[in-house]
Amino acid sequence: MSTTSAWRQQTPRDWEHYVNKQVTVTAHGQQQHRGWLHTVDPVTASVVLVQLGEAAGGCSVSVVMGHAVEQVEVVGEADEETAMRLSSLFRSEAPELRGSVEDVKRRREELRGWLQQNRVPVEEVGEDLLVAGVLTVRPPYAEQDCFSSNQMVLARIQGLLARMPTPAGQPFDQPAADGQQSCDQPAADGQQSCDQPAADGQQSCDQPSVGF
Amino acid sequence: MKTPVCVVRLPRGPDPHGRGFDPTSPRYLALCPSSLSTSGEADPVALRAEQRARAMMRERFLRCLISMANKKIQFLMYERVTVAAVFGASDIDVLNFQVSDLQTPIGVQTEALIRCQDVISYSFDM
Repeated sequence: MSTTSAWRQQTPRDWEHYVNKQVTVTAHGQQQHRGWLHTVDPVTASVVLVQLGEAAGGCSVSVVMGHAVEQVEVVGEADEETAMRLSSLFRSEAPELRGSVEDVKRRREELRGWLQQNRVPVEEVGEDLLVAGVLTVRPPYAEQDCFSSNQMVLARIQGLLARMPTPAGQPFDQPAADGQQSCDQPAADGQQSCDQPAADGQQSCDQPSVGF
Repeated sequence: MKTPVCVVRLPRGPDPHGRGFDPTSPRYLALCPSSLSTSGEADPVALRAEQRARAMMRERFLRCLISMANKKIQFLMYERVTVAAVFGASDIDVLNFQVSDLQTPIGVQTEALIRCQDVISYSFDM
């Protein structure tokens, strides 16, 4: 194999400077690829470039393998909108979560209010929300944006997030108000649904219903 | 007397305690650069920053790989060879891609392994 090129010898801090910039990559054989640099794989030094289409539309992605990169040249910087689009590009989010910067800010306020309503301590740390001192929620504040080293807390908070009501007043996943939807219990009376905590405090889906 | 059954000794599997990515494994050393790019910082603050950068970029790259699954990819390889295939999976060191329906000049391969060392670049639409 050829000797390690200058590109591959750089450190992750150097590569980080290219993220969210518009670059021209010269690959083997003088091929040129231009696009927004989404990331550089620290293992192989491969460069992921994105050509964005219309807003919220499709885009095209090209990846140049690290061993074939000869030169990377910065030609532009991303504005806040583009940077946000790039960072949320490969995350599978619900359409209502993908939004402008204002939407994301509004969602953060909604989430903070919801957590406080549920007596969960939450404070703002920069762009993130620090929940109960052990869990961090990063933009765009969806379930998959929760980070914690405590599995119990993570599961609880993610469940709480799933039950957060939208501005219209209806939770995302509850179809009807009559409570007949239950996860895996064929209860005839439908009184023990997984989404609604029962009056006697039994919140587990695994417990069979009384009449079984 | 029952016939003794011969015992087949299988090669050792991967280390169950490791995370799968082992820079000291012979396979990685043979096929990948001999050392991970690192500034070798002794300063813990700088080391933490480098780890954070490495983790952020690797996570983005892995999400990119996940989003490629079952999509049609165009591979540009050496000697001006261009092939198209449906992406299946990558191995952890990004040394091989498992693909289906590989369109080659001599026919369509139902399942194939593409060596990443042979690929210059690849592209797909989201």
